[in-house]
Amino acid sequence: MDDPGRSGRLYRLLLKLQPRPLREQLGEEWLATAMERDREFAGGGGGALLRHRLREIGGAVRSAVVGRFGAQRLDSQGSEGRRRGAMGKSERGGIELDGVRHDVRGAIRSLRRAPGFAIASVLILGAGIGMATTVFSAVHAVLLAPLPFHQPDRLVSLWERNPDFGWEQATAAPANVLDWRERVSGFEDVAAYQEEVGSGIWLDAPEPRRVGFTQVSGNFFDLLGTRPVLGRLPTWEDTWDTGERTVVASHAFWLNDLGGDPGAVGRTLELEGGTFRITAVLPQEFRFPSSEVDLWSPYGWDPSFRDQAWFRRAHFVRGIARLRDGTTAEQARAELDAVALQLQEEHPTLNRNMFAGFTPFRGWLAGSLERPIRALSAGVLVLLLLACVNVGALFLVRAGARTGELAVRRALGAGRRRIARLLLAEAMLVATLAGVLGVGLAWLGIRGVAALRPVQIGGGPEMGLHGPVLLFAVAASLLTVLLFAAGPALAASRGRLGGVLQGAGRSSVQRRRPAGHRLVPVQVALAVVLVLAAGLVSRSFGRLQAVDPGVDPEGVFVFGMSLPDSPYGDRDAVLAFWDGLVERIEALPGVDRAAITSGIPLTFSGWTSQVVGRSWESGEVAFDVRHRSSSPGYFDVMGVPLLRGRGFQPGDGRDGVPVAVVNRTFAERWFPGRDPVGEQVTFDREPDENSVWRTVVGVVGDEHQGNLVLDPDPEIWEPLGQELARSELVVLKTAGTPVDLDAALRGVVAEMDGRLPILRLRSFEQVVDESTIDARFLLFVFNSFGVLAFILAMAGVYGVTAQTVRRRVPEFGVRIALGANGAMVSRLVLRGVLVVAGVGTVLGVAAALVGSRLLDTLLFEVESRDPLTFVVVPLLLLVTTLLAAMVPARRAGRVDPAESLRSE
Amino acid sequence: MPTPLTPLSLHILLSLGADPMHGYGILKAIGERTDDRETPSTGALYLALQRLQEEGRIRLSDSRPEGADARRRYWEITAAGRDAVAVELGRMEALLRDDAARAFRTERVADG
Repeated sequence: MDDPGRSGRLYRLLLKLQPRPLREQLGEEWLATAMERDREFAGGGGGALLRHRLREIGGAVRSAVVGRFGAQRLDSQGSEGRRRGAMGKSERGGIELDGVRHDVRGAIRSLRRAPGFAIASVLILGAGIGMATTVFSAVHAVLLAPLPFHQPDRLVSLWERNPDFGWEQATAAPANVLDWRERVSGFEDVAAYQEEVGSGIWLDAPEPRRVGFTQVSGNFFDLLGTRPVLGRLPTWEDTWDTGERTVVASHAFWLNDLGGDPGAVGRTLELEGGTFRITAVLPQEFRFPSSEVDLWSPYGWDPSFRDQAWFRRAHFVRGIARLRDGTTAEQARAELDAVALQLQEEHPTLNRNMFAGFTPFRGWLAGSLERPIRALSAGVLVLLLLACVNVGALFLVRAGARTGELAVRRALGAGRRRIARLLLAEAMLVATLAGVLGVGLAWLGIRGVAALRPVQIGGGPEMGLHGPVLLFAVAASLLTVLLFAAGPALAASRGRLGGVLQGAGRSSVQRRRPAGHRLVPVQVALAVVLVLAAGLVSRSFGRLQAVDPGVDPEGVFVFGMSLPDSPYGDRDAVLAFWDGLVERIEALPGVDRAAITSGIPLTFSGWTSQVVGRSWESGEVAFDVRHRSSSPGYFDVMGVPLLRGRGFQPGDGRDGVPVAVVNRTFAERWFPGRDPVGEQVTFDREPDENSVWRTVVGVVGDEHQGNLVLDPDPEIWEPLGQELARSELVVLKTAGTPVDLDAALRGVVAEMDGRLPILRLRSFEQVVDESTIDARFLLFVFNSFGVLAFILAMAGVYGVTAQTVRRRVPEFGVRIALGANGAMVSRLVLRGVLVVAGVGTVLGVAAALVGSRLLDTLLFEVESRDPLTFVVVPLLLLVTTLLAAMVPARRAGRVDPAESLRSE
Repeated sequence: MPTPLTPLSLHILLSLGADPMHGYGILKAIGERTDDRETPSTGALYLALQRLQEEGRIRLSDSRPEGADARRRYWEITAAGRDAVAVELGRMEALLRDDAARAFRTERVADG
């Protein structure tokens, strides 16, 4: 199953390696052949397929090299070179290359003699590079990768602002967007689209399923500069009702659901809302506003909407504009401001205090991802730096240990250059291996991130090992090794080699402290920074988990259902279906209670309305009140406490008295000091004789409607029988875990209507988890950084202390011979470590005090300079540093003076 | 006199002797002629095809079989290509008649 996609990716990658002219002329043919051959092997054993692919990889790499560099060589070396080159079996000679090969061989030999050093360096550096590359791939996807639109830097995202409602960057009323399009000359064009991806059921699919759906103005694609793969994209005229419903299909939908049918254009799809004709297929890279969209449909508004009040009252579209050539953002902004003021004058009620503005498109898309990504980038750079310092220390140790060897080499006639080349080759070899390991880890890391919390902006590419990301990995490995490994090694090799052979290397004349000593404070400081960050993020997460969501998620499950137009055309049919569904679900063994609701907490679902109370002062309006409807059982299922009055009852139907339930926040805010039960409210901002007044019959506890971070909003509930939709959520409370809820529910639904799918059945615990996904992601990443940093720093401290002790054995021997006892010597060592670690801790705390600002908006109920964390973490690190130093320190105390002096 | 052909180039030109072919067809033909002893990688094949094309020994063909996949490219051999094959085969024949070369040949046979 997976093979076509995966092998396709492999061969596309191999094709990318080939020289450009070949790729351009023969790319498709190349790929077609490679895929066909791959299929030949796909039938056979896995081993044969793997061997074939490895051979293809080798062949492609060779032809890539020969294709690029083979030609010049042909001219100088004649036909023999060509013969080999064309068969892809070139063995390139030449003096320069020989030298390099010699160096590499030497480096391999010398690293083989020190496997511990080689493995440790490669692992540490590889882990650092892997993590940094993973994070960089997120940076690339969100902030750097070019958007697949025409001149994306000329695009701006439009919004409305209204201080009365507390709106910032809100979606706009379509009538206002249309006016901006006509009046702001600095905009070349303005389009509108639905930012929230909707979904509908595709009824005549092989198996009915949910498709991602969004609506756009007709000029949407033209404004973005998109060209279709098949068919013809809509134009501005299609914004309006053309008598036919049409859709544009995503490339993925076309490929997976329509089988890549070249005749897909013109086909019709039975969707929930009716019959739609496919007019075009989009290119693969087009995924805007989200990769979840399968189908884009032009709005098809009736032209008469333009003059209707609701078209300016309902703020439900997102505007996007392209700046006209030669117009600056400032000019366009000034013009838009002026137009918004005009519209306020022309529509004093509907547009009261309604302002407009825009944000550059890229920044708009990156939005809330930008800050966490900056914090992660900073964190991972600190970690990479720490890895480099550790490897640098390893190289220093090694350089110190082999001064003898290098001196012998010099004495035998190796020039300084020769030795420098050897050391450089070693460093490069470590860099290459670490780079390869790092890229492998990044590949895993990117998949892990994609599974944990996909990082992608609307329209942008997914995280992946794209060209620039690989380049980053290569650059990171080379730079880090050159700076931190080759540098120290070269410096050490330049040292006093002459004296070494005379035995000075082993004597007490040698510096008492290894060169790596100076790196310890840096290691400790970097670790302090990362462990502090991990501490802050952990504390914040603890606070978040302590928040009461307002519901009891235990045993609660939720799924979505959507009823098509036919036969659910009238409300009685819809209500009968929902009632029947609840009844049947409640009859299932293990199910306590079930209910239908328009939205569940922690998901921002449901809608908002304006509410006016009959007893309020005239002109007083509650804006942006959350508004849901539910069947009677909802509050029971979710464990929402009833504080006053009653909940909904089966009698609260169309024929009953209009009723409402409000939550505690609504009651306290809008009926302070009063009992809201018995009060009357309406959804009309300016009530008249036609307004429906609802009687408040109960008050329920607060739910966190958006997420755990946001406080509960005022909310009003209507009974399902009085506010009904064909798309609803079903919630149910189970006692114990039912055996196979999914199958049981499918059975129930199939009994009622075999065409209807169950959408996203999940436990409410999963809903809670999903709502905290960003916090958990941040927690996971920073804790990983913290743990790694901690290990690296402790290993560094241990290594350097152990080495110090080894060097000072003669000195300790003398001290003990002169009457010092073991404990005194141990203390001597520990005191040295404490001083160094103390300096590091102070440096680290200072750096963290500055750097923790990056976490400012990412923490919940914890200051980014949280005093507790800033005291506990450094202390903890100091103590563990001492513990790490304890082992070598005690060894120092056990030095036998006689023996140590003899070895001198 | 044209420069000698690589074994792969020779095989490609031999495969194109009759009808125009696409890359995959050429691979199949080479496989048949050599009992699958010669199976160049896709990368090597197209590099060779591109070079032969640059050297004017093959060209992209306008004619293609009925119902051919639109993405496929078909190559046909040119007069220069035929000359090159003829020269190469001549060179091989000359070698076969050469005594020194023949000694190697019997050795190989004895080995196998």
